[in-house]
Amino acid sequence: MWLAVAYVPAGYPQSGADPLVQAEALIAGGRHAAAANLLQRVQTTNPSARGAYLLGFALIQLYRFEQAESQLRHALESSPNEPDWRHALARTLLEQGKNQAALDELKRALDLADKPEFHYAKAMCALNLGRLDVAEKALEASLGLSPNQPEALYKLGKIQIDRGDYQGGIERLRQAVERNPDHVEARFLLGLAWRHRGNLEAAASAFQAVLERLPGHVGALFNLTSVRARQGRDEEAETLRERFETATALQDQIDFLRAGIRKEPGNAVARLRLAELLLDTGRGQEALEALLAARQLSPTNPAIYHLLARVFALRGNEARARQASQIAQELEGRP
Amino acid sequence: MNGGRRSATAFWVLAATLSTGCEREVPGSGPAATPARQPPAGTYFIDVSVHAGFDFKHAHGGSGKKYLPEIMGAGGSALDYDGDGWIDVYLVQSGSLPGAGGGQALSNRLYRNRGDGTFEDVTEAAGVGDTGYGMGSVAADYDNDGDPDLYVVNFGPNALYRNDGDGSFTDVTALAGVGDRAWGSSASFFDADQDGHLDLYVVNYLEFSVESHVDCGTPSKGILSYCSPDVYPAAADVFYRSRGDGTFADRTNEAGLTAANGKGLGAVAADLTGDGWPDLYVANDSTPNFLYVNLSSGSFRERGVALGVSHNEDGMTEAGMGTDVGDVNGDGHPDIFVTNLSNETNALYLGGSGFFTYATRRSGLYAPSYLPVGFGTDLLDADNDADLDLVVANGHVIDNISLIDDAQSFAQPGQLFLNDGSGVLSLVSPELAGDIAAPKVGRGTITLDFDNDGRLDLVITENNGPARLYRNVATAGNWIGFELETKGANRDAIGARITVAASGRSLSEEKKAGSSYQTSGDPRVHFGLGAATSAMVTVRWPNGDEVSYGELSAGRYHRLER
Repeated sequence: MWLAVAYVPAGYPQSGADPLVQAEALIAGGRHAAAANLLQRVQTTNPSARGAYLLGFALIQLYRFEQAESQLRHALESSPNEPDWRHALARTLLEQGKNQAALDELKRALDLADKPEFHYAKAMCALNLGRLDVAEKALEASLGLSPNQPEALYKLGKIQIDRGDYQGGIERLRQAVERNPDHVEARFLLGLAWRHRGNLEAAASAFQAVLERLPGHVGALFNLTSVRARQGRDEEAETLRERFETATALQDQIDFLRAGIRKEPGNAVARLRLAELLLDTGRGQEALEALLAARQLSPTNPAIYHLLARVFALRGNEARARQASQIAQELEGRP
Repeated sequence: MNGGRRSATAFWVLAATLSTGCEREVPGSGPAATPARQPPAGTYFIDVSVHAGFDFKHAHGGSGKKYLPEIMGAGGSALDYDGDGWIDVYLVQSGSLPGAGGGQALSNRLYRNRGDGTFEDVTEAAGVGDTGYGMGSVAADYDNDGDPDLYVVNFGPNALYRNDGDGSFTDVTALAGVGDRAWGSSASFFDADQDGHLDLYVVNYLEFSVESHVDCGTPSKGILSYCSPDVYPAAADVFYRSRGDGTFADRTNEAGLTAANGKGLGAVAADLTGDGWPDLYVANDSTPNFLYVNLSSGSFRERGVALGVSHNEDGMTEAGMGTDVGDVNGDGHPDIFVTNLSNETNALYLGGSGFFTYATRRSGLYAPSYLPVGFGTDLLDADNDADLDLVVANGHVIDNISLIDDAQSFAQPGQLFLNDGSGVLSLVSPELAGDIAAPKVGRGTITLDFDNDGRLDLVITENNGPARLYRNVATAGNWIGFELETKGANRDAIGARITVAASGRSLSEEKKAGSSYQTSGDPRVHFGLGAATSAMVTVRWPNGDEVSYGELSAGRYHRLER
C-alpha cells in the first residue's frame, strides 16, 4: 500500500525509447539501481522535474532517502501541485524520522487529491508521533475511499485495541482477516482481543491459526500458553511454554547477527538470515526492515525477494507480495 | 549541621498500646516549603528545590566517547537517618567513569530535612560521601539496631554504610562482604527466608568496561550514540543472605536466583503470589523480566513466563528499566508495573488467581507510554482518593535522538496518571501535573512525604542534571500513614502487609525497601482515604502474624510496633 505509486507502467526498457519511459520501465521491473543510474545521467544532460521525481522515487527504493528527498524537493519546486510527488517526498521524510514534516507534506498532498494511499500514509506518520486520534481518522478516510484494504483494517483494529476498545477492534480485525485470511498479525491481535473479552476458546483458535502459518510466532505461543494454563490444560500449556522458550532462544542468534551487522553493515547475507529469524518469531516489521536493507545491498539476490514476498503476504500486502515474487522469479531466470 | 541522633521520645507520642502490638502517633505536618509562586488551581506538584536548598546536580563525566554507564544513572533514597521524624534524602552521584581517564571524583550527598521545608547538606559529617561511579541506593535497617543504613550500588564496587546512630555512618562494606564489583543498577533489601534478618539482592546490568566499549551510532559520519544493551553481555545479579551478625554470604546459586541473561536495571521484592513469602521481580533491559517465586524456604524458582510477566503481550522482551508493585485495580492482588523504552509501552501486569494479565491497553497506558523512555516509577496515591496513581520519570538514552527521530527528544516530560479506582489510569495534563512535567532526562523517582502533610511528594533525579524536589500541593483527600517496627528481628518490618478499610473500600500495601529505578522511597506506608476520617487497620507482619489495630484516625502517621 505504502509503496503503491500510480505512475508506474509495466514492461521493460526498449532501445531508442524516451529515457524517462525507459526509467519508468526499469522501476516497474524492480531494477531501481539501473533506473537511478540512467536517471542520474539524464538529469545531468537534460534535467526535468519529472526526471527528478523518478530519480527520487528510485532512490527511495535504494534506501538513499536523503538524496531522494533532495531530488523530490527539486521536482516540486517546478511542479508544486503534483500530489503523488508530495506523497513520495513525505515517504522520504518519514523514513528519515521526520514525521511532522512528512505529515505536513501529506496534508498538502491531500489538499491536491483525495487518495486512499495519502490518508494511509498520514496515518503512519500520526502513529509514529503517537497521535492515535489523527491516525484513526486518516485510516477511516482511507477505508472510506477504498474499503478493501486489509492492512488499513488491521491498523485501525490495532488502534482500537491499543486504546482498550476490544470489541471495536474485533470487528475491524475480522474484516481484515476476511479479506486476507493469511494476515497473521490481524489474527494474532484478534486472539488478544478475544482473550481480554474473556472468550478463551476464540482466543485459542485465533492463536492456533497464527501458529499454523508461523509455527514460531512468539506472541501466539506466549498467549496460547497462558490461555491453556488458565483453562487448566497444564500439559498442553507446558508443551507450548517449551515451544515458546525454543522460539525465544532464537533471540541469541538474532543478537549475534545484529552484532555482526554492526561490525559489517554491508553483509547482505547476514541481513537476510536476520530477516528469516525475525520472521520465524513473528516479528514481521523488523523482518521487513532487515530485508529492505539487504535488498539495497544486494538487489539481484532472488532469495531476498522470495522472503520479501512471504513477509508482504503475512502482513496482508498481496500486491507487494506478488510483485516481489515476480521479481524473484525473473532474477532466477524463470518466466 | 546535624548534632547527632535526636531522642525519638521527643517526637513520638504514645497514643495507645494494644494487646497485640503497639500503636504510636508520629509528628504531624511541619512548616511547608514556601513555593516561589502560587501554582494554578488544581496543580499537583511544584518544584521547591531552590527554596528547600536542594542543590544536588548529577554529573556523568561524559568523555564524548559515549560510554554506556554515563547515560544510566543515578538514583537515591529517602530515609530518616537521624530519627527525628522528618524524611531525609540521599542522592547518588556518578562523576568520573573509572578507566575513562581524568575527571574529578564526585561524591554522593546526604540532605538532612530540617523540618521547616528546607534541607542541609550533611554529607561530610555523616560520612556517606561515597565516590564510586554511582548508580543507585537503598536504605534499610540491615543490622536491626533501629536506624536506617545505606547500600550504594555502583558501576564498580558497591558500598554498605552502617548508621552508627549518632548522625554518622561507617563504611562496613568489607566487613559485611557485600562489595560486589559488577555494574550494579538497583538493589532491594528483603527477608527472603524470614529469619528476621534482611537479605540483599543486587541487580547488575552489563559486562562493560572502557576497554570493551564499542562505538555505536554512525561513526563513519562522526555521529556517536550510546549503544543498545544488545552490544554487551549480561552481568549476573547477586544475592547476599544475611548471617544475622552484620555480615552476608553470596548465596545466589543456593537460592536459585540464577536465571541466565538478565540485563537488570530495577527490582522489587514483594509477596506476589499471596503465600506470605516475599518474591522478587526483576526488570531486565531487552531480555525477559524475571519473577523469582519464593518456594517458602528462601530459595526461589524463576517463573516469569509461566505467570505471564516476562514479556509483553506480543511475547516480546522489552527494555525494562524501573518497576513497582501495588494494587492498581483494588482487587486485593498486587500488580506489577514496569517502565520501558520508546516505541514500546510501559507494562502493567494485573495479579490475581495465580496468573498475571497484561493490562497496559485496558488501563489506558498504551498510547501515553509509547513515545517516552520510562525510567523511575512509583505507584502512589497522589490525590489521596483511595487508589494508586502512577508517576513516571522519562528521558531518552540517546542524547542526539532528535537527529534520528523528530518524534523523540532527549529531555522528556515526567508523567502523572490518575486512577479512576478501577485500574484505568488517565494522563494528567502537563499544566495540572505541574513542574514534574517539565522536560528532563529523568531517571529515578523517590516518593516521600518530606513535609509530613500526608500528601506524597517526589524527588526526580536527572542524568547529568539536577535532582529536583517536588512538593505535592494537590487538593487531596484524607490520608493515613504508618511507620512499622518489629522488635528484634527485621526491625523495619520489610514485607509487612497493611490493609486499611474505609468507606467500604479495602486497600492493601506492602512495605518495601527498594523499587522504581535505582531508588528507595519513604520508609513509611501511606494510604489515601478520600472522605473517610478513620480506617480499620490490619497488619500481616513479616512472621505471618495478622494483627488488627481497630479503627485509627486519619490525618496522621501511626507508629505500629510488634
